[in-house]
Parts: sequence; structure tokens; C-alpha cells
Amino acid sequence: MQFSYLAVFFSLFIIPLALLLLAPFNLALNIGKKGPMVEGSIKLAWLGLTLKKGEISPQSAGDLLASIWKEEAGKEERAVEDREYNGEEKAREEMEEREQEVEEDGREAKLEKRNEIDNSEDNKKTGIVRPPRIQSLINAAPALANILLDLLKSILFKKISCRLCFGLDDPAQTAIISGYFWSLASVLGLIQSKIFIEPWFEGERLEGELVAEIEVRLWRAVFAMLRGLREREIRLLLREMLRWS
Amino acid sequence: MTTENIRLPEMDMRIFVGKEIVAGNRTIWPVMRISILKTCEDRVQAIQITPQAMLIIEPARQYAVSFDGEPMTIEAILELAAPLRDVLEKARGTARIKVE
Repeated sequence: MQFSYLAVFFSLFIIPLALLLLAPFNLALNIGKKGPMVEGSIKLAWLGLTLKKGEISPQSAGDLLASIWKEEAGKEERAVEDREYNGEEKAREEMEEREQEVEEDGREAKLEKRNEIDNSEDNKKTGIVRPPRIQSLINAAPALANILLDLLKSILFKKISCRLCFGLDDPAQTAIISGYFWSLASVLGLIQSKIFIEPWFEGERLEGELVAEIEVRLWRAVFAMLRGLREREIRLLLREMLRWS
Repeated sequence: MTTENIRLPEMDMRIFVGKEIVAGNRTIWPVMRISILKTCEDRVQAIQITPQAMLIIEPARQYAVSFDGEPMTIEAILELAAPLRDVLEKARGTARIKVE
């Protein structure tokens, strides 16, 4: 009997968890911008299953932004229409009343929230995070760097090709930002890859394409976090941020 | 040993006018030389920015300053960076007093 419980427990929790941690997530990106036109696709897969897939049909950057804004505005409009359709004059009135109440209570709520933040005992319950002291951050910096490096190890660039041509309104800034991009590529170990960063000094410009296949293994990220938590400085930093005494 | 396929890295040097810096009623237009060292595969290997001169526009006058320590005339800076001609003309235009 006990064995069957154990088997159920394993099959329900341990095996899916192990799969989630060990099986890699694959992210395929293909984004390009030429002139004003933007196009691309994105695909997230796990165990051969497509979790998310999206495509950007060729359109200008302005149109793309406009369509995103329109979509958001459409959602709001639909919500308003739904409310009206259900005879919601009453609901609207109620909402207005509620808004007024909220406004009146706003100041009180803010004061209460401030008190909650100041009160270290309550932070355990509310989970409010406060910025840590600079000294704690400095102390934890080497351990944080180690965590970051470990986290980077969980990301594997199976294939990457990037061609970027960019320009800012100031040529000096363009050159400096170009240097930052190269530093970033170097830190990520992509210097040998097909990375082309071309600064454009004649004015503002952004063109390029990015094709990448990224593999992420969660167990490495979890391992990095657990390893980080073993460091005293990290634990102190977390305690300070959560105001746990 | 053949040297036919060996290409030396290319050095591209150009003069650019930077973004204007406004300090009170004074506007400074920096002029810089940007040198780009490219590899044989046409990849940027290094970029060097060297300040050359600056055009200073004040409400009453305009003058140029060279970073090599030598005196510089307005004509010399315009010769170095032609896009500054428009800037200067605009500045002179706004400073001109209309006489009716």
C-alpha cells in the first residue's frame, strides 16, 4: 500500500519536477529591421512541444507600435462595451462611487503602507522589499557576481548571428555604446560568433537582424540560486531587503 | 611564402561634428576625428575618438578653439567641418539686428 503511495508521489511530483529541471527549454529568435520595416518570429519549445509561437509580419516599426497600442486600446474598449451590454449603468455608478472612496482612502492607505514598510515585524507578512544598504551590496558583490556567472552557464547559445548597424545623434556616444556592445558580446563569450556591430556616425539609425537559438536548463539556474544562498553575505542581503531580523 | 592574400587592416578616419553642448547662453559645437580600425573581414576592431576643435557661439560673437593649442580661425574650423557652416549662418542670422 505504502509503495503505491510512493509511486503516485513520484509520478505526480518528482518525475515532472525532474523533467522540468533537466529537459532544456529552447528559444528560437529571428528578428530583423531593415529601413522602417520590422519582421521576425519567436518560438519557445520544451521537449519538442511548442509552448509559445509568435510572428511579426513585415510592417513598419511605427505600424507595429501602433498595432500594439491599438490592441491594448481595443481590450479596454471591449471591456467598456461588455459592461454597457450587461446594463451596467448601475455598475458604472457603483464604480464611480468606489473610485471616490478609493481617492478618499488613498491618503490613509499610503500612510498605512508607509507604516507597514517602517515596521520590520509586519514585513514578514506583507513581503515588502526595501532597498538594501550600499555596504551590504558591496559585501555581497563577489557572491552576486558568482551567481550571475553560474546563471549565465545555464544559458547556451546553440546558434547566434547578429548584424547590427546603429547610430545615435552624437557620434561620440555612438562609438562609446558600440564599445559597450562589444564588451557585452565578449562577456557572453560571443566574440567568435557571427556578431557584426557597425556604428553609424552620420545620424540616428537602427537596422539589423538577430537569429538565435538559445537553450536554457533550469537545473543550473536553481543550482546557482541554491549555491548563492549558501553564502552568508547573500543571506544577510536578503534578510535586509525583506527586513527579517 | 606568398604575400598575395595578406591584407593589412584598414583605417578609416573621418571628421564629425558632435552634439551641441548648451551652457547658459553659450553653445559649444565639438568637432572630433573618429578613427575606425577594421579587420580584413570588415569587422570593427577599434574606434578612437580624438577631439579636434570646437566652435563656440555666444550671442555677441562666435569663435573657434583648437585642441592642439594653436589659434584657430572660423574659416579653419569650417574647412575642417563643413556642416558647421549652417550652424554658424543660423547663429549669425539670429544675432543680426534688423534696421528698418
